[in-house]
Amino acid sequence: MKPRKTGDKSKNKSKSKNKRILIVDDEPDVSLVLKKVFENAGFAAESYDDPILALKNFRAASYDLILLDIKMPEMDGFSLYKQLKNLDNDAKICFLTASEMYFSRLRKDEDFCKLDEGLFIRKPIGNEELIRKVNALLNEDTY
Amino acid sequence: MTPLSFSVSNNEFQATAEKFEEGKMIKSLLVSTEPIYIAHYNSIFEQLWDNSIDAKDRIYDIEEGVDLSDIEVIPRSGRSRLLYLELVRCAKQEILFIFPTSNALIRQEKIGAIPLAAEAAVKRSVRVRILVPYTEEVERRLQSILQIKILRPVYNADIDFRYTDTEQASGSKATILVVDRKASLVMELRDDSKTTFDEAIGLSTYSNSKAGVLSYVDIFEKLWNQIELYQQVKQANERLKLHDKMQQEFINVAAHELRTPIQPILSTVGLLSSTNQATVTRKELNDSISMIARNATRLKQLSEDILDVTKIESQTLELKKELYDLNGIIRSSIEEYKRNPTIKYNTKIQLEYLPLHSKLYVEVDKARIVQVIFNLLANAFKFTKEGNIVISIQRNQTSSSEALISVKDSGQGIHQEVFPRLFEKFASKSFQGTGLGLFISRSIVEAHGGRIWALNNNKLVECKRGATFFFTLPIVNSDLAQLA
Repeated sequence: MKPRKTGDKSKNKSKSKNKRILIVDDEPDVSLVLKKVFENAGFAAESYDDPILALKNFRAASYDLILLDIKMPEMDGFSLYKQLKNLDNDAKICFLTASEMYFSRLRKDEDFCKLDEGLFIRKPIGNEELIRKVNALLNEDTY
Repeated sequence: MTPLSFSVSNNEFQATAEKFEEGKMIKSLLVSTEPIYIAHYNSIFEQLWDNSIDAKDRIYDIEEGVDLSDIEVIPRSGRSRLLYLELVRCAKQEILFIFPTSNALIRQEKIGAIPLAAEAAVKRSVRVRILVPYTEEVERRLQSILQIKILRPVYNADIDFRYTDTEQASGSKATILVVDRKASLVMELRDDSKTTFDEAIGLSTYSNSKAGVLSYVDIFEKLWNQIELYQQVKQANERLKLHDKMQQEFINVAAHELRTPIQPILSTVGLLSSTNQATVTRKELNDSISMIARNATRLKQLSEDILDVTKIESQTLELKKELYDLNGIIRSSIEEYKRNPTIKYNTKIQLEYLPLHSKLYVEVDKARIVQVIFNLLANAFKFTKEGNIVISIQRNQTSSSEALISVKDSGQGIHQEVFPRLFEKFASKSFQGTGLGLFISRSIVEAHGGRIWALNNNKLVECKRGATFFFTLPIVNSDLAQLA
């Protein structure tokens, strides 16, 4: 993976403040509650339960971190990942998943093996642990 | 062979020879003590002795009525080809083939042996069985032979084949033909790379010796049955593997479905406990409560479905049957559906109920039938974005002792891919749900002596959208119902 370009916001080590998170999960309850969890922790969060709509509204360089569910109808998380990367190669994207099968099968089929294990967050996850993991990802210089 | 009769001892050789000379038969006697002659005729005798049959055995065979057999070694492949075709042409009851390689079958089809066998099967009702190693080419040719069965079903041609092991594994190097259990022709394979029969075949042995022919029949039958057994074992193994795969698939789907509702519960509870209770508005609190209730109910339903499947599969599903009017059951199902917190009622969908004006008594486990209707309604709502969903009951027109319940929607219809497995476990095409609902519903309906099925509406009325699910329940005679 390429190092992030200079002048990137992730160099900023101050936690959470004004960090922008995009959440895409086809379960409306999940995307909604995660948005609240992030807002409660001081992030600016945006959420979608429709991956197609999320892609349509996506603007490059608008988010510090993007969280994608893997098993979604119409467009799975890996396809969405590729599309988003086409629009914004510097976007920092990680996966949120509740199923080992979809995780491992898709990861293999789609040749995502080279992605770091740390970029996969297992659901369900407690609020504090989620915020801790997300902050750790935001503070990495490379991914 | 030497044209004379002779006797030979260790030190003397005697022979009689006959020849025609000037119209007379001249007999002469030869006597020699020359060691080279003696040794030569001694070795000829030994050879003849070794290749002959013990006279005692032969006498026994004749006394016991064993047939006089004819065994012929045919060195020239041209002659064996003619004999081969003649044997197949004259078969009256049965032809058995064992081919050592797929090329052997292809060559022997070319010389006409297999078409002749097919003709024997079609025209003379000869039973033809073929053992051959599997290749795609063989499969294609045999299928075209089997076309005869389809084209002329009146003759009911009896041609069957089974695949022996792969060519590499097969040690056999000869084509074996057995006709009517009376004659065998074993044709040695000299060179499998040749394209013509005459070039590929070496020595052939024809026999009509009963013992010899029956040994080949025995070899054939053993192979034939062995392959069947092997196929059965293979199929059983594949069934087990499939079952294993489905179990694994279920665990994965169930894991996803179990974990997903936990996230909103866990996060909402976390948020509620970390925020200052005084600042939470009534609306926020209500939203949080319904979020938790909705997801907890989803977990409850899933855990009950999993338990139901376990009961169905271990055949311990118990029904507490009582007498009910079907109209009442449908009403309860609709109420239960509307009350369920997991349902976000879609205002673009109209739910209609067309009740029957007379009472229709059924003896059922009410909770279980409500569960079936609930599942059908949940499916209808899940796959319908707008339009109407209609539940109706009526007496089945084709069988008046049955009630027919239908749930009709105007949604996307049932996907062709899912249709054949619709009522099996995990048949879901959706991204939500375990694919257990219809499997459980079918088991419940069948346990009540009913049937369940589905149709896409375009099968009923052209251009109609959506699908209709039907199920039947046996009706209890209304007089008896009154007594009860």
